[in-house]
Amino acid sequence: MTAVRYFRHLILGLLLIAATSSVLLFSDWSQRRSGDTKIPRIAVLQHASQAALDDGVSGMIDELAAQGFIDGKTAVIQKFNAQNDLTTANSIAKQVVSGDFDLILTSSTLSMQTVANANKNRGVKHVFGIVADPLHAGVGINPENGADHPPYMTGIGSLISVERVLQQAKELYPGLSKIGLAWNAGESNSLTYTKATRAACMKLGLTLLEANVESTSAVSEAANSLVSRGADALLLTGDVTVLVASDAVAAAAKRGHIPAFSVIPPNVKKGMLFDIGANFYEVGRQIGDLAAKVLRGTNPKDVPVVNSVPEKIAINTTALAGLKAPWKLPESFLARAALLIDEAGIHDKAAPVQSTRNYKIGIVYFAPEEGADTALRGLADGLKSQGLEEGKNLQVLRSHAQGEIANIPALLQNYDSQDVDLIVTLTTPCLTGACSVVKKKNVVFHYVYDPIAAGAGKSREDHLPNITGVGSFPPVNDTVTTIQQLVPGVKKVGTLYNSSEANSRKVMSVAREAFLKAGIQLEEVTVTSSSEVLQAAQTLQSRGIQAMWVTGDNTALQGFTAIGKAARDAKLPLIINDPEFTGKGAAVAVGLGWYESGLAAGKIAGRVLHGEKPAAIPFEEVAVQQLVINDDAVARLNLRVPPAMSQKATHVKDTK
Amino acid sequence: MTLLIGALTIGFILSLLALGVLISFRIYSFSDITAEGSITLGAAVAATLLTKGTNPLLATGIAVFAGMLAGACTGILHTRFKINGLLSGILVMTALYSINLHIMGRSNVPLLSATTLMTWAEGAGNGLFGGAENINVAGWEVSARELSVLGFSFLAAALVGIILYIFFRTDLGTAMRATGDNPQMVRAMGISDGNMIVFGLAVSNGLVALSGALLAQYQGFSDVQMGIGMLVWGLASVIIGEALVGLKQLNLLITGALMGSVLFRLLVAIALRWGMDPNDLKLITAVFVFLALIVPGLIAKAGWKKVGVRNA
Repeated sequence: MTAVRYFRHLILGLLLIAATSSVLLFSDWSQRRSGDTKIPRIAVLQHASQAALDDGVSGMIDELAAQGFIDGKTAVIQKFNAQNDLTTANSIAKQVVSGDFDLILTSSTLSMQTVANANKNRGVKHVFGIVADPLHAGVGINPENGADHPPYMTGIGSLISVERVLQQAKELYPGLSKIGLAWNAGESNSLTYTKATRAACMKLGLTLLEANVESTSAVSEAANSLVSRGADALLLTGDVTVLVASDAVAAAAKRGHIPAFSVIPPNVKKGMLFDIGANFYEVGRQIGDLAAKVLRGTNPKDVPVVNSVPEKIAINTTALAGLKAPWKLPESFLARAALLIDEAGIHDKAAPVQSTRNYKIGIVYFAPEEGADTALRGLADGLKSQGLEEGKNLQVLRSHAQGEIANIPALLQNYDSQDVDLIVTLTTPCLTGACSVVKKKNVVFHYVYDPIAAGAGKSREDHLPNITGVGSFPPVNDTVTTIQQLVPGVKKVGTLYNSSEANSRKVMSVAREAFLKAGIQLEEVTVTSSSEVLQAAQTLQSRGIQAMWVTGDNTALQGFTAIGKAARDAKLPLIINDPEFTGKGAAVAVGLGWYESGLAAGKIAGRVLHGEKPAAIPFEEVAVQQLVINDDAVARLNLRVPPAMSQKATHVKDTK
Repeated sequence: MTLLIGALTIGFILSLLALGVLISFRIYSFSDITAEGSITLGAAVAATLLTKGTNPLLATGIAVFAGMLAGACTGILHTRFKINGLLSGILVMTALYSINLHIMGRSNVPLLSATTLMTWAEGAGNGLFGGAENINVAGWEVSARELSVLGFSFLAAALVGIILYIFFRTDLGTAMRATGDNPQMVRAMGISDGNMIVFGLAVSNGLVALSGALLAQYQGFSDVQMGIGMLVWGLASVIIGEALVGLKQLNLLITGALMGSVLFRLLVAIALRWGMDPNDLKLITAVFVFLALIVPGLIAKAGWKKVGVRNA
């Protein structure tokens, strides 16, 4: 046969392979990227977890997404948080400037300073924001001219204009002449604000009364002194010492029948008349916009550092009551308030900063069964507690391996190559598969006895960077104690399990020791399929055991009815680890509430979806014990259940 | 694209299983269930050795040898003890379950930190692609590592196919084929047909074990239950392959088994990708296989190509 004829016979097969491949590729069309664009890598740094900084960061990320730089799809966005620690901030800064990032975004003055310092000789593009006064922060920007700055960095300052606030106050009460200001001279930012206040008062023809404080406890006294010196109103600037004691300022003002106002919303909640400050979420969006421009090729050198303060106004109309001067809140002012407090309560016009993104997760499990269903219910509730609800802002894809190990890699690859934001696995084999197969996506696991044995990491903290989750080891020691309480003087306990299940082998290795320690002999029989379970249970009884114990072995649970029947026929108490099965012939279940494991995993999944890195989340161990007693079985066997045990247990009857 | 590459890679790896099944099922007309045990055996031996730091090539070689032993056992049970072929396969498969557990010492051996043939392939690919992390293939970002592993599995499947073809044209190989076609004639020529069966099953299960060893190294773990259902898919690949090539001629059968395995995995991947109800996956797979079997016939009927079944 010639080569030509040989190939002619292959045409059909090759064509079909080409056709199916094309179908598959076509399904993946959306993941295609134009050849010459590399995915930009963006680092986002913030100094601490604080409302203003968080708002700024979510603004940046939302705007970047709106401009087509979506984390995990068209961009890699890595978040860093120094947790208010300057040493950490410095090492983060060093890391990001040498970390192959295309752009660094910073939120807060300290983040800007640390990055600017580390970046001096590197020149990685850097866009900063949520900074009061970048011009005087010592990062190389000319204080006289915002356009003169290091060529690789630019950003937005948000120095809140005290003049604007004072002007507003004057509009509300034209007779205003004396302003009281308490401030801490030890704070450099406070000094900036005070200087601005002095200048503004001069310009507006107001008299400024100042009182220095050194600590938070001195604020109340200082505010009182300002009131007694005849201030018409008290002002609160961005002074952290005074901010912490803002209620003291409001209380002093109230006692003196004068109003207080601030530049940091929402101090109206503490009793101030109004706040005019920056909307840091909006600032974040402006920075995101600037970042997108830089990513598209704008040279930071050409972008001057400007001051931009999108206003956020908060008003408390109840603070008007009892003022000695005729302060008025005109409708036009009220209409601009994002937060309004009146007799009826608090009206927050701006919806709480909440991610409007829709998320998509893929769930992979081994086969459908009761325990997994319970865990999935917990998972859904856990996600809900993080504001993620299926059908609303969460799309959930599910697949199971049809009980075949060989299917697991393909299921995981399917999600790994799709646009899901997170993969959630249940069961040990699915986790093991994810450890080697999933390369691009984050994974959160649960419904697993021992994640370390499954290969997910060396310890709870030191694990694969894209994988975290919840392990739940069954309460073996309590099982032993329970058996001892139910059957006083027990010497021999029988168990059966499938030795090919990693979970069961692990439990058995722990159980052998626990039973040995309790002076009980453990008789083991292994099975390989659910059809062998009945025979195995009967074998056990012939070995003179006084009680039977079955752990969460998938094979044994599949044939559980047979075990229950065998135990009943032989009048043996059956103790199990899966509460769902208690009614089917067991006397007592000492088990795990899989719901709680799922709930914990759902919370972790929510955190990961909201941007936390799995590498920084240690494995959790959630093993909430659940004790369930089957009263019918207990009566049948004449077992004496200790009252203490009976009290904390849930009671069920035989499942009919 | 990842899914396509993954499906092709698994397809090539499991085509070795299909080739093993082709030998027992087509050449010897022997329904050899041992394969379900020997694929796990290959995976178990390779994985256990790899975690101990054995050279990957050596570990894979030992896995193949173990598979050959298992196949030989089935053959000996059948020829020496006159046990029905199906039953001897069942016996060895059942025994292998316990043996595999003993080899691994537990039910699942992860290979995350071990150096495997796939690590080597990734290393070779790294040199080939100049160390780039991702490669642009017609607009898709493709991981260079995945591409190298795909290339490796293709080379492995092609190499085994060619070796098999050459082997079956040697005197020994011809005698083996003849044993399947006409044992009496073989005996008349003074060749022990029993030995031929033992040897043939050994080769078949060696290939199956090789497939298992590669699969374990690709998916990163070996599991004692990974063999369940495999024989069925191997058979499906062989039969799809036959339907594709039309002629029952050695070189075409080998190529057909290869293509059948790849096509089958692609169909499963499509069923997955379309995100149907997970409980329906097997049903869809069955429908796809059904289509793969009848479409070549329909095309032939339409006169696009004459498909004649004759023996070469």
